[in-house]
Amino acid sequence: MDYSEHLMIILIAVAGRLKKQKIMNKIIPLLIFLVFVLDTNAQISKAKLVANGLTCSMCSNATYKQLKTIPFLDSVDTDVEHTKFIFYFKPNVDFDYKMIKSKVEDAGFSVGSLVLSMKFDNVSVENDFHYTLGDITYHFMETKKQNLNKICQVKLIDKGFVSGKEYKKYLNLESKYPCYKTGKIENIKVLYHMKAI
Amino acid sequence: MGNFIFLCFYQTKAQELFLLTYPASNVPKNAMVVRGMNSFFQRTADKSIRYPLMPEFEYGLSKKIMVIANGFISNEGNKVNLEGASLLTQYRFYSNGEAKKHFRMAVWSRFAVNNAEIHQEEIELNGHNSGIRLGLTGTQLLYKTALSSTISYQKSFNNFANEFPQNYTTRSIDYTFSLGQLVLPGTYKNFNQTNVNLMVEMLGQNQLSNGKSFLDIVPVIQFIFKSKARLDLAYRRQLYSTMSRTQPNGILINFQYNIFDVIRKKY
Repeated sequence: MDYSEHLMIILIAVAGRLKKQKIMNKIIPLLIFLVFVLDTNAQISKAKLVANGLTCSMCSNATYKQLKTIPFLDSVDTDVEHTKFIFYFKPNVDFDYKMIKSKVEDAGFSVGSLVLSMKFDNVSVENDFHYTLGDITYHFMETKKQNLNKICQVKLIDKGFVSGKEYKKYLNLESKYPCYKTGKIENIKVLYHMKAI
Repeated sequence: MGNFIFLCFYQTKAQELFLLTYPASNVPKNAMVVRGMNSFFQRTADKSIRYPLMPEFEYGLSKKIMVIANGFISNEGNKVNLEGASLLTQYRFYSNGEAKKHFRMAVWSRFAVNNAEIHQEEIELNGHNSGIRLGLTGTQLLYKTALSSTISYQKSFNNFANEFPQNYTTRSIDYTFSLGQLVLPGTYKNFNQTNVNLMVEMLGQNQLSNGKSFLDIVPVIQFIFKSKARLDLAYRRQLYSTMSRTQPNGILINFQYNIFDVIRKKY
């Protein structure tokens, strides 16, 4: 049982106590939201990003300084030789992959790859499997049928999170995954496409 | 002749932080570069040394737009004179990046004002003439090598107190070709390693209507300290010229410092 499950039980118990009171109707949705957010972020703690379009350390430093301004990142490590940035997400805060992408672009470069260390609890994945965490639904593509357990590496493959060449490669699979091009599926608030690696 | 030399250089191997031209890459958004370039040029007429100083501020307005403002300070008449200033805006309209590679294109304009006396046919908005210049830049980065080329049109106006001589041409097409090679370090370990870049820039001008031209070559050695400060040492040498120029050859020293995240945004 992890931190978020403990918290869920505590919050349900608190909600149970509050049930007797009239404020319960207002507080219960808030508590549910809180558990939702905490639980979502507890599953992704680390990511590795490779920035494209740069070689020198001054360019890497510019990218590093941009990434450092992202409020939901706890710390950023660098591998200058491979233009790689390893970052750790702050626990219990909401985050937005698009901000990571736009910060790299603000430095003048682009995202070559973004690989998330995501925690799974015996989840069986395959092509077209949808996995929802909070507001975000992840659509698996080009992934062999497998069981994901504990911390696994998954790569975001949407436009702007892979190189132009790689994006075109996935775009050629449009007939198989029509939502890849549009980035939308009905009734899904935020959609990302990913691949287990 | 200029084009032929450019083709020869195209085969050789740079990083794109060039000294006398800007690549199609911009200063990062919300970053500022503070720069000071001091030149030492011998005047052809009396062999005296002129050492103009050019302070400059560069700022990234967005990922696609940067603005550059600079001033021109000279030692004309053995006193310090603020002779002019210019404003450059660059818009990067194309960018395609892969691992350690990119190709970019940008358009730019420079507007300059100046008060210097005009004694040469060469049109130079960086410190000599008032005028406007419109340009196009293409830059290719290939691992540790960078190639960049610009073509521009410029039109000079009268300087404040000094009119543009009527027998000189006011319009020119200018072209540049720059290449640079990252020499050190061989392998990056951290941001504190000093980088050394070797560069060659070629700058040419073809004047419209009278057909006069010149071509210069500028070898540069560049040091980058702690991934945020930069020192350039260069020598500008005229290869040929069919127009009058007051001080074609000289030494350039440039120092600049990058300030990232200038305006802090609260989330």
